[in-house]
Amino acid sequence: MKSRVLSLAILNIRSTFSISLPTRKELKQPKTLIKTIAIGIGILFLIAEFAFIFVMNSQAMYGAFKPAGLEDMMLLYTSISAALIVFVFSFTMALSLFSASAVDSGFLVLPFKPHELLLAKMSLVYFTNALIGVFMMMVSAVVYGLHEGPPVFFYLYALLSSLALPLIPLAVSYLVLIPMMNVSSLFRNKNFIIYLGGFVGIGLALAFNLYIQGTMTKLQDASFAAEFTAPDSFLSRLGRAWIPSLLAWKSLSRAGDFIGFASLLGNFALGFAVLALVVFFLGKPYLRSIQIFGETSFSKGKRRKNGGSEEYGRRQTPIASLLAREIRLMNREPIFFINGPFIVILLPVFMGIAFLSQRSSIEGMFSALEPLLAGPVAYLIPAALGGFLGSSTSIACTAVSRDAKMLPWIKALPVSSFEYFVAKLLHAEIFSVFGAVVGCVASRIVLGVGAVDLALGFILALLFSTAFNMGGLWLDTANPRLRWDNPIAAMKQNPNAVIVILAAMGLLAALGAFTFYVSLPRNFYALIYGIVFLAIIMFWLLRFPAFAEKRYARFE
Amino acid sequence: MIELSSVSKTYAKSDRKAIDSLSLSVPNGKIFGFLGPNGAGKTTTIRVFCGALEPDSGTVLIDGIAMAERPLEAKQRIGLVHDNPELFNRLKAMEYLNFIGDVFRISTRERRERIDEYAARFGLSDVLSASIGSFSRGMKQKLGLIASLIHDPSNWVLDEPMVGLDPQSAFELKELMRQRVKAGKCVFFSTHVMEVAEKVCNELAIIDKGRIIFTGTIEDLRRRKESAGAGAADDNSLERLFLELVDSSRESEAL
Repeated sequence: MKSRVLSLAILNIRSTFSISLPTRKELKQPKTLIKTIAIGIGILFLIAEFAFIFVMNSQAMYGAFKPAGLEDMMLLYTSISAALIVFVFSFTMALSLFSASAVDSGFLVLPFKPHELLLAKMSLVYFTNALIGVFMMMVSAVVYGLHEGPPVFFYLYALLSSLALPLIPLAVSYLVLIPMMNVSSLFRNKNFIIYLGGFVGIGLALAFNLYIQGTMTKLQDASFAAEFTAPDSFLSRLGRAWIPSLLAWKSLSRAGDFIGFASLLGNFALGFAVLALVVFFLGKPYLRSIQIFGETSFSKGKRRKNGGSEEYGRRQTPIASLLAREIRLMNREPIFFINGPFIVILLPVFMGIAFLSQRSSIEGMFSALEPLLAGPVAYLIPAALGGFLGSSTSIACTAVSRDAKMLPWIKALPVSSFEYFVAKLLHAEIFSVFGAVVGCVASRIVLGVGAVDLALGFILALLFSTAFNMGGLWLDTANPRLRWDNPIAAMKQNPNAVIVILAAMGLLAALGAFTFYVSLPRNFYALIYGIVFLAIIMFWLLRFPAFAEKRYARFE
Repeated sequence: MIELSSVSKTYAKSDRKAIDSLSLSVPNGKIFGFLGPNGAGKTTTIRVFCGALEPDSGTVLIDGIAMAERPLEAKQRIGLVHDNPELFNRLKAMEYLNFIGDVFRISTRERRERIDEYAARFGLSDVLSASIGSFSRGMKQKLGLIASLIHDPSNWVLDEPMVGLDPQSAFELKELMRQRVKAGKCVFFSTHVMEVAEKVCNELAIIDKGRIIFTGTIEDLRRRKESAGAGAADDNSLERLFLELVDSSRESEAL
């Protein structure tokens, strides 16, 4: 019989990472087989991509430290980086898990002690972060090992050290979060946590991007090794202060002797001691934080004012009312908003930060572009930028999937399929206009594109994104994802969204290649592309309504 | 009035008919109860005649209007209360009601009158500005009831409407059903609660495995049992009659 904590920890991990693999019988269906292979390739590609980034980074680091005879410093650098990343992930994940407290509250009626509930939840966070730590540390260890040929113990120590690294970040995350949940009602708001988690995730992706790019640039500088090992450098100070990283480094650089073994043991002892203290002292506060999470009341401003006559809005047409419903439901659901319309704001912010962080190299690239601005590039850049932004909001290509459980209700209303889909398309088009404007404004600021080219770019961007919105809506009408419990399945995990974004990227690349290789008079490209997009739009207008009416009637 | 004639429906991902050649006539001026075990096809039937599901065969008439031919007109005459009130948690209650008012083309004056009246009856007046997500299940159910009555439908269809309601609201609901029937309108409701059906319904239908196994009054059901040779038993409650009927239907099917 397993202990209660272990049973609950396994349940937590299984329910979070449960992947339902298709059966042999299901794999005999071509559609399932192709889908499974595609997902498998996608996962392999993702792992390979990150592995490649870390291998290149470790290789460059080794190259930078080796000439100074400080090659084992790359292990300290990696252990500090891994500890930082694991800390941010631990904190974000622990925070986001509070938003699932509704599920946890079900465990409150089972015979669990408070610290058992906390420990089981921590196990889930630990499991995830141990995977990240192992991945980062082992890649670096293997690169180091291939060059230096350390004893076999080195690899075992690298593995064990990476398992010890997440212990203290995990304990610290809960040490901060549990009192926060108990004290501040703001943190007990599920929406706030989802937004915060989303923004931290975005920030993390951005920081990771800048970190990799910054490190790779710095490593090419001969003075990097000296700068890094200088006693007052940021990383040196961090390395000394963050004892787990220091111990991890010691255990690797002295693998095979007593210091290495003692450092490894010390790392685990320290990690478990801190974790045990947090579990022991914060078990009851954790229980209380779950009990009070998401408590709502109507006391503050939610009660209706006397009469509330202004609330009875003027009668609107069904399309206007459906559109308002669309916009409210999408923008008030953090998962829909962050992964949907917010992209129109997010992408330019990403680009802006990348521009500011690598200004010199990007400005060099722009100056090379200047002669091209006399040609079609002047209107094609705002068109491409605005078109991509406008078509990547995933509003149209997840339109039906997002409604899922609501479909029977909507279908029982006196609303025609035409009204339903027009509202969906209009919603996407609002953000297409916004995307086209952002594309034009960015082109104006960065490249100084003229008014006429901007106008042409705006029209092309709008046509491009409209064609993609229409195509996306068709796709989601034909093959919606209607069975889901978590809204993320309708949005981020919806194959239709992935297909549309990849298709938009692919078409932009194809049109870019066409522009580059086929020489035509300056404005002919606008004419050709405009006609192509208009043809797609016309085809949709002619064929989609009949298709949609039939399909709408058959949604179950 | 709701009329179904030889309606069948099989879900795309199923090889079993959810409802099979189902015919039913729900007259005006009657509270019509729709009973059946779990998975019998009650919600499917409701979704089919409310236009949420397309039947594979058969016809549905709402006040004589064919759902297949003039769906918008037919739907305009139905007020549906769903079995699952977990919808639109991100909307405020008033936004939801205004949306329903728009869709059914109800003037501001009418929607104000009806919302105020029903919100007062169900005790929701104070919380209409709040988000639906902050409501309890019972409050959501009451909101669904108000929304279904905004357009004063001639056919009020309720799928398990008593779930989550407090005694006061359950009483109000039964009163409303009776008032609407008195006004010559049709009330159709499905339930598992036999006591409620017994007290409220003028007529009822029992469905099992997608087929109607009985339609008529409770007295008809009792007479049927007696004529089948069971005699006048001590317990002639609807619950007992229902259980016996479902059992005998399954036994005869097994044979």
